[in-house]
Amino acid sequence: MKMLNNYKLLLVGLAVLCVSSAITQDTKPSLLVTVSYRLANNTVPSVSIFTKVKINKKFIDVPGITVKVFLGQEKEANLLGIVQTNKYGNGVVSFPVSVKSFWDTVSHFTLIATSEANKQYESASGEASVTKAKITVDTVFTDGIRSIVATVKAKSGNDWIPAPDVETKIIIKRSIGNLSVGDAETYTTDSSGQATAEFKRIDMPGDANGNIMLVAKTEDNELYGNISIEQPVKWGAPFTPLNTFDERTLFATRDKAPIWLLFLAGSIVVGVWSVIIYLARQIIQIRKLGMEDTTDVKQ
Amino acid sequence: MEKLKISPENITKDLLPQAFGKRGMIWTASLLVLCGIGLFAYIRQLTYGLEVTAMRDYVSWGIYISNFVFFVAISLVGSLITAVFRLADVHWSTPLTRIAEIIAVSAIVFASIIIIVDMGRPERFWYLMVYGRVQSPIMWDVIVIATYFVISLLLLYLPLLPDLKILLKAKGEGVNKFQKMYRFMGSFWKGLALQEKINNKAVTILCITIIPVAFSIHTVTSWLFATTYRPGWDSTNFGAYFISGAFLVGAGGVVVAMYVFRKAYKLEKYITEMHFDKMGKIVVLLALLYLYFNINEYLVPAFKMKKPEEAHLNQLFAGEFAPLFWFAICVGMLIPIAIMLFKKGRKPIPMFIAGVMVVVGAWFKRYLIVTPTLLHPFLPMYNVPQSYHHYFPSWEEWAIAIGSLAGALLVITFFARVFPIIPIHETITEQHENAE
Repeated sequence: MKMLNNYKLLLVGLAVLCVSSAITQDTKPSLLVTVSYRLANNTVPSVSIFTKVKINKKFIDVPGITVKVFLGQEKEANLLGIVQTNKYGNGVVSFPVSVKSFWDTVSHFTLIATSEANKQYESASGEASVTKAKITVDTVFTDGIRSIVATVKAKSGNDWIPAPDVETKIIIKRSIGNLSVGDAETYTTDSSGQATAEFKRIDMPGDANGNIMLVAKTEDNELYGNISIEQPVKWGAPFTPLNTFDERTLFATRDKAPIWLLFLAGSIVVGVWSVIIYLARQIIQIRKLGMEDTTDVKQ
Repeated sequence: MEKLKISPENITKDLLPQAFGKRGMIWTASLLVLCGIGLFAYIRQLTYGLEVTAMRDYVSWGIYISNFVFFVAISLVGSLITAVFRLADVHWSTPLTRIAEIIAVSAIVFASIIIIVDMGRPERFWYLMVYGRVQSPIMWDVIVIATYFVISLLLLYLPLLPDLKILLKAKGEGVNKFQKMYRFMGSFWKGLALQEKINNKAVTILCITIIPVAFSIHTVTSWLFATTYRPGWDSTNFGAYFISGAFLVGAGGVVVAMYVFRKAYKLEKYITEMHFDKMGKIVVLLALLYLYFNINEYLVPAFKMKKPEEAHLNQLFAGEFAPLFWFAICVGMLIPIAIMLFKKGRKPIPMFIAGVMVVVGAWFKRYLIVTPTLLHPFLPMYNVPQSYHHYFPSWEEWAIAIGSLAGALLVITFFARVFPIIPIHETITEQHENAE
């Protein structure tokens, strides 16, 4: 009897396991939509959307999700745009001209991103509250020391006021990555909204005129989002890249073969084929001798 | 050369070309059938493109290029037997010179053909001529192969001139139907002292010229690989490694041909056991030399086992290609050395077996030089179909490769049918000199 009870218990346990497993399989994973505000060089702002899903404690990018982005409120009149996320789960919407008049008046705003439910995911949304801010950069040269001053100002009513305690990055833009101008990774703005970084990258290769691109930016700031400014300065070492495109090299086109190679290959070919031509002439000579001779020599 | 004590008339009679017997007809027909199948496969390749092959993005050089390297290698024997021995005043090799030269000519012809086959569309060869870059080793290869072909042809033709006179005078089933050709090729040869002098000088010049050209042809072929930065090919040893391998396979090929011609045309009086004995010693020397280069080529990288080379070497030593690799090393070098190192092994039959082993081993060795490297690029293969990770030739590739080998044998067979495979005039002259 006791054994029978154990079997019943086992069967009930298995049934519970199967049902819970079925329920788990039917549940769609939760889609995460994150919104990020961007303003580069104080021009047209844009919104970056990221769609992700958390599976086994890992965030996986979700491509192909259609996301609507709104400014302020989730209604058609405030629609900034519709974007489908790429293979990295990312999509970008630039602010359209139609919102300019509204945009110019606001100092705080909310960005809302929504996605509708589909076969794989439930509907999801994300939002970001942003205080409108701008960043400028200035260069200072005193006592032989070069410094960069980044100024962050936030909009308050109709005025732009200094934004203190904002972590900024002051960097030099390179081809692949960015390089900090000094020893510190980031610089925090003071009460006047200014962050000063000493330029220590002496002899940094620039373009042909010695121009390098300075960048000051905030990254995922809770209040201001991602704002950045770029400014070229003539602080780099002039660099003229070695361009062999139009020169005679081993990897150039056929009409740009190196002279030494043409000479070497040509000499060998001419040398060997001269011998062959000489031998062909010898055969003609043998033939001529045979044709001239009318007697038959006994073998 | 051994003193033959045979009258010039009998030498001429023995060495004149002979009409095909029943076995000759079967042999020729078999080769023609193989060539026909190869041609059919090539027509399919022309129709449907290189897609009919198993070559894909990674293995873009398959058995066509292995075959090409094999042909170029075996063609080097012409310079060894004819040129080197002639310049060294070695006379015992006289009966072998024409065998070596026709092997060289037929091999180089099919090396050229197979490279055009590998290009896919044949008009690309024309584009190579029109748009070729002198900076490319492929261009050097084309130039040097064309040059070597012309020199080999001259080296075949010039010593043939005195024999053409004999053939023109000869009567018999074996030569009658080719009289027009003989007349066209050599009716002007009267055996005048001045003709002989010019001819001998020309042959000597050819022998001197062919040696650097022969070295160039196979060195440049090795550079096709060595100038490419890939595991297994990135070697400064490649030129010498290829040359030594080429001499070995060429000598092995001559040994096989010697045995077959000796047997088929009953040439025991001319290709004697002494020839096998001497060729055996040469093949052993060449096999040891090639083994030495192989040890250098594989042992040094294996000792370092650099990460990018690791997969390639492991596949050769103990992986997918290991059976073929050890087969090529054992059958192509070790066993022939073991056979021919002893006097008993240098008799005709063991020599023939060893020669076949050298040639077969050499063919697979070329396959191993080409394919495994392509399957192990420095940058790992990602997101490619599973079939790209392996290579096994399609039936069209096998048919074309076998057809080309049959074609080369067919050229040799037809040559032996039309011309004396052992120089008649030279044999008579040398016997006369020996008698004095």
